Amino acid sequence: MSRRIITTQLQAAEAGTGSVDGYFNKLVKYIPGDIVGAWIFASSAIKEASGVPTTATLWIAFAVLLIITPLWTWRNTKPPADPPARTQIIISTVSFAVWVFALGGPFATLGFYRPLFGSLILVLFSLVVAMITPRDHAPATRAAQT
Amino acid sequence: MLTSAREQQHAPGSGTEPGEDLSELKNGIEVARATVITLPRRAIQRRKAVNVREALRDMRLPSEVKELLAGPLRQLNYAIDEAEVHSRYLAADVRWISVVRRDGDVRHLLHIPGTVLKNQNNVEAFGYLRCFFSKGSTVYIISPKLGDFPHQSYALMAAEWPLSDNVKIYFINWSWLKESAGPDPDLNAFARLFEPPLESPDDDQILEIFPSIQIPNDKGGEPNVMARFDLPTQDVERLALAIAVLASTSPVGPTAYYRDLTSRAGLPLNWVMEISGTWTGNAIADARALVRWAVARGVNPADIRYTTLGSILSVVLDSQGAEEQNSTVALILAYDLYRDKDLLASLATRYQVPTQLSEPAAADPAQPGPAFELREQMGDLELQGLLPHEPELLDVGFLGEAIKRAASICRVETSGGKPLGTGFLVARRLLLTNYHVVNFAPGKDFGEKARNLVLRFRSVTAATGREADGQPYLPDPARPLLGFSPVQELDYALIQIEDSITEGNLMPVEYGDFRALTKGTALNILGHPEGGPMKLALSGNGVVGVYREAGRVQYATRALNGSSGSPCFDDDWHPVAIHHAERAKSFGAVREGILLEPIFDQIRNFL
Repeated sequence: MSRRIITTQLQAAEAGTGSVDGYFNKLVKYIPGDIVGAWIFASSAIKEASGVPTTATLWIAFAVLLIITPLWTWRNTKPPADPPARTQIIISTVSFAVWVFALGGPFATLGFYRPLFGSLILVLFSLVVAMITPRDHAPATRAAQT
Repeated sequence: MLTSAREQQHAPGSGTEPGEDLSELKNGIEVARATVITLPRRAIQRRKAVNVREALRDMRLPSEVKELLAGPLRQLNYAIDEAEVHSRYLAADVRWISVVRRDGDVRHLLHIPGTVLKNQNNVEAFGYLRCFFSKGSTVYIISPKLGDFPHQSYALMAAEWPLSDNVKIYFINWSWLKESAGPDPDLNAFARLFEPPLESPDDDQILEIFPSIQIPNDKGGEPNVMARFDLPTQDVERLALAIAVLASTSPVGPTAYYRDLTSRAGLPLNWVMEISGTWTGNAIADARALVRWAVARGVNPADIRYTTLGSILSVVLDSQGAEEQNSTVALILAYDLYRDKDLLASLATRYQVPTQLSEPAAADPAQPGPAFELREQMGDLELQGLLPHEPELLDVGFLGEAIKRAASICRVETSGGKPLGTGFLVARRLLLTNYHVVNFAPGKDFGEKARNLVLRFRSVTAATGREADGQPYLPDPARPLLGFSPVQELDYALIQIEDSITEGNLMPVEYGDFRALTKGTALNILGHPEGGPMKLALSGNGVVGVYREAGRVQYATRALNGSSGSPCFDDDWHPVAIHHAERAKSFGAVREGILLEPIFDQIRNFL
């Protein structure tokens, strides 16, 4: 399954057996599961480490992964002929931030933070985000280049 | 099922007193019921990996019982190994093994729910249970209701076990055994339930012994596999004549035809060989003999969903014309020559044979359902709402128009026969399809890709159930491509076809008012989804949006890969768009076509 969200599928017989991505596929593709997994591993390692300023290191790790997320998503959604999946890249980056917020991470050190907020934001974000269908994923050039 | 190490000496007819024999049997069963031991499902589900010792340990049984179980469990291992493909049946449905020890007489009881036995798919798996019983032993088949005991199990056990393993089989009704513990039954009459083997007792016998028992229906449930049926002479003649017509017109001659017919009917090999030497060469005489022979054979044991005659007629049907097919199907339905109700229903639907509404099933006196009282008077419409929706009624004239339009539509293929999409005639020699369909063809440039196409018209499913070869045409080699527009714009390609197409009976589509297309109107697609034979997708109100500035229309009408290039028709069967893509929405997806109006503005000079 391609990481790129398929919003339009030309229906020639040679176009393959795939179809456009529905709600659940879009939800899965919008969430950068590998980056979130890396964050869980990194944050656990940081919390376990001794002699390291935990909060500051968590913020640094979060910032690094936040920068990596769009690059990683861009790399995984980049068929040669298609334009960058801008909408998906932006939403994936926001998804990562939402997941980190929901998991606590460095946000847990902030005064206003309550775990309930993270849970509620994650639920609402997950419900709504998959309703967004990227408009910049036109298949035209892909088919024309075939 | 009950089998006994000493059953040889207790078998009915072996010289012992029936009362004594039955008394012991009855007591054995009672004890068996009292000592049911649950075999852990996980032990069975280990299948090949199951270990007898582990299974026994899981069961937490006394050592003497474990000792008794070791034998059957070893056999169970064997059965599971052999029945690997049927593991679902063995893992999920064989529920209990119980062991009764009475003075050295060991009996094993397998509890197999009736629903399992009724499932035809389990019949073969059921055969593997033979390994539980040693050759020459006697097996009592116990069923809660003999009337419900599945005929296919009769077929399997009655036909195969005695022959292969010399196993004696007796059918016993569990309910009757339980009844027998109550008011003193006539043991001699009771014993007759066990005689003769391989047959179920008829209704008179049942009523003689247990007058209080209500027989569910005249036939006592599903018919016995050994049952025969009668066919009136005039219907034998009708069938014989229908078969004889096919045999006499067969290019290979009547005898070869009958040999081929019986070999293709899925009958047991020994039956085919048995009848193969009887053909005389007289088509009608042989047909009569075949029908009578098939009637006398009753159920086809090789495929118990059919009677023998039904199996033969299922092959005959494929070669008959429409009128003869209806006559044959009517007889199949009238005499239940297909024994599977689903097959009969499917046949009636396929050939549009009206059938009489079946009588409501008789209530089961043994297991009455809870009392039901309709508390409120429901209106007709409300009652209809409880029923599943009926299939939509389609106007035959409407479908006739669709078939006329089908003559304009072709499957676009590569010269190697690989399907690419669909196209349709917009003039006698001009075909319109999608740009991206042609673009998938091999070739260096777009013109060469167009030259390498094959356009196959009338590619539909034939009466044989296979796809017809259709009428292939090639693009005009001199000038195959007259015009095109890339995918980002109008996504079309106009192909000029070789001159010979004008000699055929293919006609271009008829145009109407392109502007009539609005949201909520009908949109129907004729095309080759998945590269297969031509199919029709209907939608009475499928248009969800018309975007004239972009030259697009979106609709809910079903389409698949291979539908690209299909004409989209309005309700008057005038083309309004050419299908090209599927597009995702917030929830689900819609299909999208290119409006024909802007395309025609560009290709008008060629028409």
